[in-house]
Amino acid sequence: MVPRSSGGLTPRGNPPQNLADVLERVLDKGIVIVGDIQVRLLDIELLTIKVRLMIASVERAQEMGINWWEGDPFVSTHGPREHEGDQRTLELQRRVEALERQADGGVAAPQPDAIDEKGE
Amino acid sequence: MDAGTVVHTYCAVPGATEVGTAGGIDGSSVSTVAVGRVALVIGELSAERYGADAWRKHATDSEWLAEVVGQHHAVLQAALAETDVLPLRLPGIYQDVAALRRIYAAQEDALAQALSSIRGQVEMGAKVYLSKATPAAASAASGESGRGYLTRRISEAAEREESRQRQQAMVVEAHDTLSQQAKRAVVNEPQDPALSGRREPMLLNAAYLIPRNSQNEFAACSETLHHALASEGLLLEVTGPWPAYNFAELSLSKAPAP
Repeated sequence: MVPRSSGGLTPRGNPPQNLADVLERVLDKGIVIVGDIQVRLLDIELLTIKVRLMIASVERAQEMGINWWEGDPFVSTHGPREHEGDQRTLELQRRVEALERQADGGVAAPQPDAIDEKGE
Repeated sequence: MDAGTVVHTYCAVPGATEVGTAGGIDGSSVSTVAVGRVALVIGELSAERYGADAWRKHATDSEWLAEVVGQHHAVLQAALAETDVLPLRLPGIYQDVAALRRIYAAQEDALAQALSSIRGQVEMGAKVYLSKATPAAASAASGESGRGYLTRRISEAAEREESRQRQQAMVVEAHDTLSQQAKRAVVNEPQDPALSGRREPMLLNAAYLIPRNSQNEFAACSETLHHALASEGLLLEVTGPWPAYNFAELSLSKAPAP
């Protein structure tokens, strides 16, 4: 469980770290070691886009008056499929689908020693 | 090794560091694998629940992500209390320790270098929000002439613009001041209000790499800034110490031979 931020200055020794700050760092920063047989560049790109999708859906939920982040951070949000009218969501969804097709078609069954060609 | 598990990587720490053995994702234990001069902090997790397929399946599942990300981060935060921590990006999943070693062996030097570049340092985060908008237009006084109205509107607009520029200058100045306390600084895109959970616009989203032993100076400096910014309707929020997420960089060496 992540401590939540109350805003304002950090009381020393007790950093307010809200979920947004943690998500931003953990999912978007840190060293990437490419070449793993299971998780490739493609997957990482896919994940990043999906996280953006998630954020878009949270945004939509908030517009509808559901303040997801200010409530319990572990309450599920609406899936992107419920917001098909949203242009940005649609665009991202198409990109995800294209990537997924690529993933399913191109590298359907990763071989134990297949190193990602893009990995270096 | 059990085929039903995967190896999850948390972070890299200096070699021969002891880390706690509990408190990993899903209550799993945490251990280290030596790779040259560094040690990788890892955990063995259920492949079904935390393998690549699980990641794909849950990538838009905010509940799942928040939980995994939070538990992953907690391991790094605990390690940071003891030693230097080089964060590794999620998802870092490997078939087994042998696969992990094979892949990381090729990056051994780069990894040691990346870790040494953050030795003795921690990350502090600073965000500035616009807590009070620039002065709003007053409602028209009764009996005001058309000319008087226009003049007033123009001067109000000029005032707002001035205030906006003053706020911007203060944000830049605050960042400069904090950067002077830091070895390195990074400015990130402002967080989306949906992510930050705040309606106020975010004007600065930055991270600073500071020596572990100068946290008090950084706190004193940000406290001074906090007051100065507040007088201009700006809210400074400081977080940390964090593992150096924003300063974990690898100069890549050649990929391992298949």
